[in-house]
Amino acid sequence: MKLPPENPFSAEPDIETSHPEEFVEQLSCVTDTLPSRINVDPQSVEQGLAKLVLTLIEFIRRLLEKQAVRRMEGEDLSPEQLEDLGLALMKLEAKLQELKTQFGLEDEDLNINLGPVGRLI
Amino acid sequence: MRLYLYCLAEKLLHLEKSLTGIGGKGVESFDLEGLVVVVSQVEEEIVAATRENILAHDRVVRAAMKDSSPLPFRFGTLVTREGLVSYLAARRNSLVERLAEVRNCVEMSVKIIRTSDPQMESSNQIVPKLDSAGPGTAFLVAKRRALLCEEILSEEAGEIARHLSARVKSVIKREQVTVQPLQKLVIVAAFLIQRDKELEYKREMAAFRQERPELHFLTSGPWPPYTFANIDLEFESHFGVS
Amino acid sequence: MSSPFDQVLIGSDIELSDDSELSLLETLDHVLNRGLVIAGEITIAVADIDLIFVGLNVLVSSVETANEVLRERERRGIAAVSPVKQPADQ
Repeated sequence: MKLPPENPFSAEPDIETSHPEEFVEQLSCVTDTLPSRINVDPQSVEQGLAKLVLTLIEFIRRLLEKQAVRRMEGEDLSPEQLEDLGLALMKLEAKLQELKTQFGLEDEDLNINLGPVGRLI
Repeated sequence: MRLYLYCLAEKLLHLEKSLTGIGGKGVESFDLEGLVVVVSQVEEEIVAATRENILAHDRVVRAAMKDSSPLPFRFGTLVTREGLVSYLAARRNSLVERLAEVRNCVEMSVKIIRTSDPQMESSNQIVPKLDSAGPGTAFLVAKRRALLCEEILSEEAGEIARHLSARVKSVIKREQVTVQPLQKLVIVAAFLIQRDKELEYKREMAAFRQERPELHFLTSGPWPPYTFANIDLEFESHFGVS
Repeated sequence: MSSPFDQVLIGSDIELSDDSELSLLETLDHVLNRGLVIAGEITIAVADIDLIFVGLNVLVSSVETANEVLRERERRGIAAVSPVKQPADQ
């Protein structure tokens, strides 16, 4: 079946799904992480920068957690070392939570879309 | 006075006089630096992402798809003529390559929601303390459990992506598949296909949907090649990858 | 300063069916997240992420568009999803 030559490309997208509600919900989330109205007042720039910095720290924090878990599985740490490591990471997580709150950021705000690399979480 | 940019094309287009774009403005296309640009002239400095404007942007790019395969601009791109000239001059070679890549092609979209809801421990929950372990160790034990769940989800998501890619491989020219293992919206895929392969592609997608009844699908298209306008250009320029 | 370009709300008398919401969101996903970007004048981008907007040329009020969709759904008595957050006050 060939496409009619007089209208080879339709003026509106053709969308098909059996679950429109679900996809509306998911796609609305997609717009959540987009930048909001541009504002060059100091507060917004500050929050934008905080988001950047905290995302980076969060990324590293997660890497550290994974590393720690690997070490735990590898059983090459003494119980004391393990406990210290765990406590340090707990404090790091709590501190980061504090910083997020201070800047009015939620977990989702840091889940930025890294393009080809995907998302943080 | 600025230009609102819709897309770039290889050759001049015949656009209906009745075609309206952003803010109801008229649309024109003209030659610039050896490429063809499709624009509206606007006085304003900002473009609001209203329903009308968003649909207008897509509508204009679609109109351009009638007799060419343009590279769409992202919504909201407003430039001075000078800015546009300098952009085109600097990027000319890459843009020409990209135009050749998408010639006679369209984009098809697939989004997949995973329905099975694995019990995943929130990483904030701390497991009740083990008798002999302190809070730090308990924290790590809980993290380990969470990480194992994440790994399982990642594997599953990866498997879906591989299955999808394999299914459509023979009918697509290029793919961009984003996997979000920890989200409900687990796969967001875009496929660049030759226009005359649309039917075959749809057949393969239908077969895939049949094979995966546990997944929820949203398919859409054909689209102008939004996803494929940019990917290599920006990725390469930012990472210096050749 | 008002102009047609600032108008972000559609009339409350317009019915938002699931189909038209979905169509808008799907179109939004294509035109807003993808496409050619003239970088350098408006965004600081790393690996195609728009991180900080430093110019005024591009306004993305997608927050308002999404909120409008959500308000309409609430009005029609459909269970609301979590509301889109407003930016910390202007």
